Amino acid sequence: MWRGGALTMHIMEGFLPASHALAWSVAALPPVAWGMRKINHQLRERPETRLILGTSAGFSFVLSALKLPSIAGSSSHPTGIGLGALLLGPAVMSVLGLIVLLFQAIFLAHGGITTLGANTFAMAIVGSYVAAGVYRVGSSLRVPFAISVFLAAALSDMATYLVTAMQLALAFPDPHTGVYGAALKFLAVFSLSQVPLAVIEGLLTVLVMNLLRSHAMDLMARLLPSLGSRVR
Amino acid sequence: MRVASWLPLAAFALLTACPWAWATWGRAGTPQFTGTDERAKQTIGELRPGYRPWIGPVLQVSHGAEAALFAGQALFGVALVVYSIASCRHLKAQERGHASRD
Repeated sequence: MWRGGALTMHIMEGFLPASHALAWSVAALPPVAWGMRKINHQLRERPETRLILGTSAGFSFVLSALKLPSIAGSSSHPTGIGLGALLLGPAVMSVLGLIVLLFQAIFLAHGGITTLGANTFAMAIVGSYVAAGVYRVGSSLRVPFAISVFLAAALSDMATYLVTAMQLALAFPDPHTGVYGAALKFLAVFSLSQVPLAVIEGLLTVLVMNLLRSHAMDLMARLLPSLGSRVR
Repeated sequence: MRVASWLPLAAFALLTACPWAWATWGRAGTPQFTGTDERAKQTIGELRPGYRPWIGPVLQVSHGAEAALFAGQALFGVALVVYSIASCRHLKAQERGHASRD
């Protein structure tokens, strides 16, 4: 039987001071607005890209509902951001990540509305750009496809928790060691469950990308020509 | 199934099963996994004793309802993926049909 607290990894409702919550929301706004513009453009130009949007959003919904335990006795869930960032690009995935977070904040008391900006910044924006950046570096260094995808998804997951820890540390600095000390404490909390989860997320993303690559990548690349330059 | 496909799947199964096995057989009693947020709350309590959230969640759900809602979210995600892949296959089949007629 599964017992425990609210099994979540996002910053909970009311757990960021109002000024911090507002500042992170303002910071998240431009990348999300840019992503919405890109989605509108893609759907207007090629309505069939909704299929890739659906696959990426669905993957993120599934993965962020997977509550996985860790040896440390804590539990959390992957984000599913890496796949969408590789297929659709980080700007578009920022918006899909926001939708997943909004769904969880409203219906699951998971994360929060006031902390939506901070969680969007950490997961949907930083997570997406880290995934896309790592994959691009891997490709340019001619790292094998599966390893590039694995690193992109796993490091995207780790980056999310790194930023979340920093956000909490900025809000709750240690009285003696300041933001740095608090960041180390929060990182210690997250790292116990997130390192294995990042590995799991990397493996699942490789699995799905391999399946897509062998069965549907040609069609997806035709639906979204920029995909061909992103995923080879 | 190719090695590239089953290897990540096997590793995923192993990584998920090991903590369960350890919690079930390595420690006495029912496995209890505390959410990462609970641990973060404890850390906030240590750093800022007496801190109380200034606003609560929109919807308060019991653990049972929460599990059901998470399952609902996963089902919704699976439905989205299945619909998208099925539509892709349909499109592909349509294209093949057009090509064979031409």
